Amino acid sequence: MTFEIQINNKPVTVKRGETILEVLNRIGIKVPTLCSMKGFAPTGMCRMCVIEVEGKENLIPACSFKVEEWMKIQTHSPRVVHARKTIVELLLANHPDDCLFCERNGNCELQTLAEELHVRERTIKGEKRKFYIDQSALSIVYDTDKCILCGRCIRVCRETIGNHTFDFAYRGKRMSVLPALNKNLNHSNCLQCGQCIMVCPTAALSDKVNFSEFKVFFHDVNKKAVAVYSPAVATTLAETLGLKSKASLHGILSAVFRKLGFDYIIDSSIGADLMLQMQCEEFISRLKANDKFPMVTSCCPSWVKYFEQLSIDNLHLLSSQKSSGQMAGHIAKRYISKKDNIAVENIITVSIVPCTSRKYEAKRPEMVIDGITDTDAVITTRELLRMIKMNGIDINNIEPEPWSGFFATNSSAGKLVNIAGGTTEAFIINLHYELTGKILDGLKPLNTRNLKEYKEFSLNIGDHLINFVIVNGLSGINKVIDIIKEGKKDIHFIEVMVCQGGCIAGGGQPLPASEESLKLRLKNIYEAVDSAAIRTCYENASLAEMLREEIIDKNNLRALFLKKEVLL
Amino acid sequence: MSISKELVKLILQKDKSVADNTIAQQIAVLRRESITKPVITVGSGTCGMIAGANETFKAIEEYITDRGIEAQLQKVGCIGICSMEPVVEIHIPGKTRLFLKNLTEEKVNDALDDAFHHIVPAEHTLMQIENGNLSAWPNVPNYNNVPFFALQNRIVLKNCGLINPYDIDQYLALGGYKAFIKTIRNYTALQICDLVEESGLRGRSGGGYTTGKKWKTALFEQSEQKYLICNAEESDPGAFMDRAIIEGDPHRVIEGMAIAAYAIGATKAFVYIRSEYTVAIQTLDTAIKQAKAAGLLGQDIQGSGFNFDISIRKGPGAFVCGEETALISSIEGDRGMPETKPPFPAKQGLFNKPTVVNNVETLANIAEIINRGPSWFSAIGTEKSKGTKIFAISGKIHHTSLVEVAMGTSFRQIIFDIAGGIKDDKHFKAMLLGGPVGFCLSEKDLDLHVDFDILRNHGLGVGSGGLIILDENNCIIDTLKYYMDFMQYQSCGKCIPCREGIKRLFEILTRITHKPLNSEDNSTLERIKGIIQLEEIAQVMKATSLCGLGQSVVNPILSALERFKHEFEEHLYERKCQAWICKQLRTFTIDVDACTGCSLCARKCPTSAIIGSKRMPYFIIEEKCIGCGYCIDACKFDAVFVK
Repeated sequence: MTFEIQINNKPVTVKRGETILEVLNRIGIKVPTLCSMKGFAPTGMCRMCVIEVEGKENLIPACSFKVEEWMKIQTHSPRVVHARKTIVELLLANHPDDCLFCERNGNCELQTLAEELHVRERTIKGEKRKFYIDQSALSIVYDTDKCILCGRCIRVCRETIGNHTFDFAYRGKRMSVLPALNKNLNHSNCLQCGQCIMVCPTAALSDKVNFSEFKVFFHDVNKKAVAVYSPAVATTLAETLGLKSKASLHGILSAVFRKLGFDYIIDSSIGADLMLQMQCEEFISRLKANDKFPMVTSCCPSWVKYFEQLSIDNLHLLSSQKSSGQMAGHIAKRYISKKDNIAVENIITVSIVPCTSRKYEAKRPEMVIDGITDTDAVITTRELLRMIKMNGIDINNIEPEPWSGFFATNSSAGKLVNIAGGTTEAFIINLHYELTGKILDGLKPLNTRNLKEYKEFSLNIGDHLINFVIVNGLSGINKVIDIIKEGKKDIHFIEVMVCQGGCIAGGGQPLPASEESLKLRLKNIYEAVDSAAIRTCYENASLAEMLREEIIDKNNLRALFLKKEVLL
Repeated sequence: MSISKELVKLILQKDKSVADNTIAQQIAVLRRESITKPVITVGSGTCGMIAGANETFKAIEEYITDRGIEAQLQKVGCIGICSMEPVVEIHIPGKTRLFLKNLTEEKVNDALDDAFHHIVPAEHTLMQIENGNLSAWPNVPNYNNVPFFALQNRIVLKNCGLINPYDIDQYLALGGYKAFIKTIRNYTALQICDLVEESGLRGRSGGGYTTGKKWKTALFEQSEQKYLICNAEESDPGAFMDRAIIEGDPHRVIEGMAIAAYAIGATKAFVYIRSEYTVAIQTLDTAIKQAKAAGLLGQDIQGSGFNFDISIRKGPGAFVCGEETALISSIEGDRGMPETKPPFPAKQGLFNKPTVVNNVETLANIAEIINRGPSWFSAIGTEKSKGTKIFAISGKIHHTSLVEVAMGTSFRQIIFDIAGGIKDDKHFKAMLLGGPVGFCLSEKDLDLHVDFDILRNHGLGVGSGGLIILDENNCIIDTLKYYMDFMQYQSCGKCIPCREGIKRLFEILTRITHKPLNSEDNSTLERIKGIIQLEEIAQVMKATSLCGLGQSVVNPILSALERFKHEFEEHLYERKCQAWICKQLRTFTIDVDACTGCSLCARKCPTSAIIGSKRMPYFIIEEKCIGCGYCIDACKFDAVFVK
């Protein structure tokens, strides 16, 4: 049902049930917000979206009020603008004055608001909150002083991720957002997925910056730096930097990484291919023994951490390989060492991923074999963009360079594993090939490519009827936990991705996250997948060659899962 | 042996005569019409206990056991006049009920000796309750002649201090639960809502929303489960009427809740009470158990088909949990933070079900309205504000007390006629109505009448009913500072204006009560800028805060700015606090002629601000002085002066 209300003295047709903010966004009137998030119920915490409604003594927040017939709204009257400005001034009065040194300088919602409302003076002076910077977690840095207590991280962690690491603690002027029992993040159940970073309006939550750590190696003639990048990073880069031609993405990336100082450039798809191959082998052996079902994917490090924190005994259900990124690092070191005759310890692998959790994963104990770490450093897409900016690289005018020569071929699996549901799709194709020797077509009806929170379907592969479950984001995880705890053997394969949408929506992607960019990335990746020449890892010539030469020992590629006790 | 079941049966039967003689006798004792052995009660509300009621109780217990006197000893709630606690009632067979004040432990023996020998302990007499059949005590004022009681209109507090709160029988014998049984037997839910709406009863927690209307909203909501919540989260400094009602007459609240629940169709109710109110919680818990045992709570109450149960929820003692949506979150097990309204709780409240949240005082009015009819109730009070309002009066007042007056009474009457005026004959300066979210009123406002609409037209409100009286020795700025300091930790922190604003208001007030020290914070410019911002920030907070707390926490400041502007100016421009409360603004000097050079003040000074050599006059370095006043106390020659 529609009716008319007055907004800024003009009639506007609105639908019943719409909030005022939705109407304003629709008709192109911008009202600032600090706490609202698309897809979440309004909380009315920040009071930035206050508007004046005739007949109401107080200003009301546009986000949490629904339109009603009698409303005559003023969105930018002097009283409203003054109130908003005062609120921002109050926030700034309690905020560190270090914009110039801040991680989010130029990209901060509070800074933007202060600029928009023309705050040019520190009018309100007084005591500032002074807590600490929590550096304890391996992926996430929490600067408590910069927190404006908007509650977005709490809600994204609770409602989207389903983990509930943060919550408000204390009251009034002492109120803060804290992990359980006011302990540091490393004691908490934080999954390091970085989704809180994606919604934080200021630099209260940011990823641990690693790129300065390995920069020293670039100038060491003995060391050789290898960039192992994820295909998701390539697509994001193209989209963020406005790369015009998609055709020579590899060549451009080669040029970029070389300019940054890397000696070798490797696509982590090789790791994905190997991982899938091993996963299929393991699955078939489990199928033969009809044991250890369901097989649960272990490619998402945040999910593995979640599983380990559950403190249940069924850890053996996790598929036992390391993740594709770690495998790629491991392979790269051994392979380059052999081919170019360089000592393994002189090879530095740097993983470039859209994920913050990989930073944590790279430091897990099983990722060090004979004193050699699989991945020496992990940087996120955001850090890569910063390095590109810092080194003055103009990506649109750069001369593409030829590929480094190693692992020239890869299957479409490397791209698929970056999307929620993609691992299952790639797994089905490979398993089908392994069992029947044929390449499977027509997976579309299975709907692996929609982003539902919980999907269940079955498929006949060879002589076996195999039941699959795909979980996208942990909000649908309770069902899966029940399956795992009960040890239901009629479900064979469970894929879990902690970030909704998969790695392409990871916590290391450029800010701010938006639904549109996620859709664009999905489209780009699926286009690349559908046009790929090689679809199974068994057809990957580079992989086959490497396995033939026996450069790597598959036993070194097994992961080690241990129960973890954390504060929940 | 409880005779509650018999008493309930008596209400149910038409013929009110009691056949059983022993029961008739027991009823007469409970009604205090004719007693066979002495009854002694001790006012053991929280206020009484602080004044030493427990010790008095023990002393009386010893007294009667030592002398082998067969007497009933009971603990009762506060009679209302807290500053005269411990109040002890002595009821000797044949004599009227005699009330003694300030009867502390050591006075017990003498007073009881006197009383048992039919001599009035003159030092302690408060009043007696005359009754035609009983012989009165000589020279003791009757209840109706004590101005404190005579000028009140006690409906809610009727039984407080006069009946045993731990005994449902006494409440029943005095006509209790009659209204509830009448309700479930004779009325439909809608009829009860109509009756209450007709009576004109309005919420007593400050908002003044018509109770009957609120009930109807909930009644008309379709839902398989509805809830009633009794809000006893009374966290205002200076408000204690809810506590006193529960401690003194818990069954009145339970009966009100039962009727309210019937009227809205709720089967489950919660009493949300702050955990600090240990005595009240204990009293209420006992009362609920007794009511259950008497068949007045539970399943199919007295064959009416109405099920109703009450649980107590202890609040963590957060001020904000008195706000209804925060209270609901707290009961649900979440952090007590307010939610945006609408939806109002009456439509979507506890566990998303229709919920009515009523204040203790509101609910305590219900039974009497049903008993005596809405027209009786609406005859009391003013045109639009009906009934009575309880004020908890404290501060510089002669009688720290609970006063229940009809709506329309002026504040002057309340303060000077009932509560006995200002303590020590000082001059009235201000009254703080409604605690930290209320208003700061001056002498000009004394003639305002207690009325929701009149006060609203003046931009004021009754608030919770806490009334703190300040005299000439109080500083307004210091009082406001205290409120802001209290509130900066009590705001839930959810919305920015309230969380960040209160902190700044406190700092601004602190700044103007400080000397211009060398630090940048207290420079003259900052002080003056601060006072300009004070009103600006306060107005934004009022306009944009999420809940009632943030919107009204600035009320004391805004109303004080209007009424006590001169005092702000004095602090700001002259750096002077007339009441000498703001220590930092005091300047101390040593009279050169009077100083003997004993060095005592110099040794006492915590900041070494006093220098000199022995047997020579000493001097105070103003920059170092923090205004603590130790020197003035130390000097034996009156040589230290304060300016």
